[in-house]
Amino acid sequence: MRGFKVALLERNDLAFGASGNSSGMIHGGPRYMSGDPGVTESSCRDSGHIQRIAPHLLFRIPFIYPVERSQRGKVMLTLIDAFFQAYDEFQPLKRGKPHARLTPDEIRALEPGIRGDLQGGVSFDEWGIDGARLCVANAIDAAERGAKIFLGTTVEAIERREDTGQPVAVRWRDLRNGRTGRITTSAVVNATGAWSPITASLSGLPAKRARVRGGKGIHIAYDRRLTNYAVAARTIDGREIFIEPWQNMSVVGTTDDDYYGDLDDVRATSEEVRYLVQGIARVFPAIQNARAILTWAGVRPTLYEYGPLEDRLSRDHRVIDHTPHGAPGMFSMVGGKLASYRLFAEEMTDVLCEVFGVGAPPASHLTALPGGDVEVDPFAFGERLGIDAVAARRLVYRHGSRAERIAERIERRPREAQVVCPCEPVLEAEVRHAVTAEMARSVEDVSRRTRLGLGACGGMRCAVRCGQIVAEERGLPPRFAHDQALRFLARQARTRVVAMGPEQARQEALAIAAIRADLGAPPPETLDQAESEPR
Amino acid sequence: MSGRRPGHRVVVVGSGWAGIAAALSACEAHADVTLIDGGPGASALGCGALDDVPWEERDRAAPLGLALVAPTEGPEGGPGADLAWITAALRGGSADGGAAAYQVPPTGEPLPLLCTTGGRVRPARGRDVGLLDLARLPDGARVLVPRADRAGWDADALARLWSADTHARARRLSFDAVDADVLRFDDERRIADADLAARHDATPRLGWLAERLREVASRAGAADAIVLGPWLGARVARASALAAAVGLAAGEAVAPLAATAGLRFEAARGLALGERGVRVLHGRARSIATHDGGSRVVLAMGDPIDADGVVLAIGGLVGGGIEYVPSEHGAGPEGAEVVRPPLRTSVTCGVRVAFRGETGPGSSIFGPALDEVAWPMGAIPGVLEHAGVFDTDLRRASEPGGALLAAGDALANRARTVGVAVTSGRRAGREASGAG
Repeated sequence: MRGFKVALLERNDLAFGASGNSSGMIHGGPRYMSGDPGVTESSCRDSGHIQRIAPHLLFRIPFIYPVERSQRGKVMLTLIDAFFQAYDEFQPLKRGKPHARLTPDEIRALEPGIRGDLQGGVSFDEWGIDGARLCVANAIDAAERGAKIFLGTTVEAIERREDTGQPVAVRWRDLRNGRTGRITTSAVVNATGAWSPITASLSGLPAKRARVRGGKGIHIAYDRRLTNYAVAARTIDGREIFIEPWQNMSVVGTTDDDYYGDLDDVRATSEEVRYLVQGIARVFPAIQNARAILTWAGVRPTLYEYGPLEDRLSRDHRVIDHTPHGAPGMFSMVGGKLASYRLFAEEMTDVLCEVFGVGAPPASHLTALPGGDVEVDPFAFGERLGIDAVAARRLVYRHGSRAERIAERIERRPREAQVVCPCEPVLEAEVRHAVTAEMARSVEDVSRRTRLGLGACGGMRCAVRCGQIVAEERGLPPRFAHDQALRFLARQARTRVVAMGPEQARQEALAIAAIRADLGAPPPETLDQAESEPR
Repeated sequence: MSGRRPGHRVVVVGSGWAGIAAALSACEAHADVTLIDGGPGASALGCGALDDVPWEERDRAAPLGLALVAPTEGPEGGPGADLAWITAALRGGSADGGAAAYQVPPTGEPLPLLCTTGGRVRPARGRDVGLLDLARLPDGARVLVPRADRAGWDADALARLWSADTHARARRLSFDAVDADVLRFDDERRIADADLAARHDATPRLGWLAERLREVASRAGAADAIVLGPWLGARVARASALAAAVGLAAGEAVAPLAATAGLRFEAARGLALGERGVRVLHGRARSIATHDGGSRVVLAMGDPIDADGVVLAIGGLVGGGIEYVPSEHGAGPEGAEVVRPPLRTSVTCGVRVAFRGETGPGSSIFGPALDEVAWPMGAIPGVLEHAGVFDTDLRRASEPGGALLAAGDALANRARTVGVAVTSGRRAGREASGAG
């Protein structure tokens, strides 16, 4: 957009890490206001920009913050009221409504599921977004403006000149088929989140030059919207958590724990789930009988600091210029949050523009992302194509005006209007679109882009069919469809079982029996990264 | 356990494959049998394929491309012999008595080869006769796959997948998707498989379908068979009647959770138990107390039943015989009130539940960390599949006296196949009648 020739290398898939596994809130984070008011302001401001460039991906999340009655309850409520009074100042930046102070009766009228002895509470306003779709939209936009995008491709080494230390090339390897290659370049931006120190090492820099303090956060998703409002709650150790209506589910989040494990295999554990459910159950006990359908986990690339508790770490972001480390032309992006991703990227590009003395003025806050330019009426869209109104609404939500491209497919081949995933729902045309136009290469990739297989049935009804379509579109043998489907189902099951209740155990056992009858046992290597292209 | 008395009373808890095997073998031992039917479980949700071992194990062990034949049974019989024994008792559940509902090939005969709606071709030890058996078609046969506008039935994709399968290629079978009018009414695009199957119970409707398929066959040229979804009869398998009317082999593909094969199982079971005078009670057993010389089965509703022998064929997690109730479920704001083992039998009877050989109280108040152990990983079974009554000598599950026996999926560490259920059920029924 600003005059550079760009290649994007991604080790796994778009939105594989923290971006696709966040709570999906683009908020200022009232939590950060006391310590980090600058972060709250920049996040609110950028949230406003994101809302303008990707309006189709938005949904409103009104919050209720109940305060328990206690000795200090009254004081607490007054303090919180004043606190949100201050937050109200930022609300216009992100099209939010000002907060309101609520009596216990008002809270129960708004959300009858809330229990406990309440002093009162406040309401405030946030926006949610589909983080995975946002990443995909950005990548597509970049590709359409000439960027080369390599997915499932890891960086093996960053070659630098011995005299000046400047980068000359990036050597890569495609993890799925083992192909290797080399891209020449004069600058490398390390935007690999929690992987940042690893990537820095690949250029010969010490890992500590791009270090982050990885904070693992998990979310639990329930099969329906259990509440109309997001409800804030406190964990046993006093951390703030929430249950929020998110798309067609409810989501509980989140934890923040230092992470020392494998970044390619971050999963929620039973303990983390129990910790969150305990906290939510205190204000919203119905959560214990709700049906959890999946969990997800990601690792925040928080700015490094030794000492403070995870929650107290700054959420600010930083561009590291490695010139002082003897590597001019190498840059690392560390820290940050979803709500200010665009601003962060803009700051990075500003630095590049200055270094290379090129570049048009920034415009990413004004230019719509793919699909965000024109509003599409989902009902007229559905009627025109003869598809279910819910399916049409979800399709338009995910693709905005780009839904027209899927409509074109259906008009050419009406059979593609068939529903593949009935839970979400996802149409065959959209699966094919994800493979041909959105760089999906596996069932899992399609799922990340369309939410296929993430509904109440856990992919039981659609994984195989989706695998068939992916195999067909990519010209791969049918065996690929089964392998892909089994891999996806086993992986999904592992994220579900940690949050499983009694009735679900039965259904889970039934799912295993059904897969055995149909496809045979799940593969032993469910987390095999280097899935070779099938024979 | 000295010889049986006349009027020896046996109660079988559970009405799946293990339960009816126990009931029928107790009948053979002249016991007075009561069966408690707690509703559909794994058997009623079965797909109609009868396995003695998980089929993918057989698949992996077989030399590539060779026809699979029924294995030789040991001198004491085996799962194959037990399957043949029980299926001989099960006939199509129609008023006229009908033909055999299942077919189990004897030693040396080719094993059934079935196509699944997931797109695989797989062997089985036996089959519901409504399923199309590819092993009975000549090598190089051509199978037609009629297109139908129903979710989960993409004829083109299935034809492609089946044609590419190892078993199909070894026998040079080819599958072709063909245009067809197999749905008569608009709602049939959406109704459940079992509901569509029930419509074909009616002879005129089956005649209509046969006519459509004859048209298909004449348009498509030379073909040997037609495969459809699990739509051919809910009480009796109508595949053979259809085949006769069309003049081609015809049958269903294996579909997990379609309930069609399960409905036919229930119909055949009702007929077989009725003929032998087994008393069937609908309800749930709550507890079983065993003492010297007898047992008492307490039901959720109705009077308790006294018995000389009880067979616990309550199913695993699928059937609801084993329950998973972690301590934190339903806990108050302060956490769990009572700490209990999370895996237990739904019927209180003092037997131990285990998975992977482990019994006794665990050291987590919330139970096992399921993220690592719940699901099978290839050949390693998961807890959800293998949890059950711990049973060291494979027969006896309880106190001395042996009045209580376990069978089927309720047993821990056993493959969840029909063959295993029938073998253990048959033995348990015999022992419970004092004829061990």
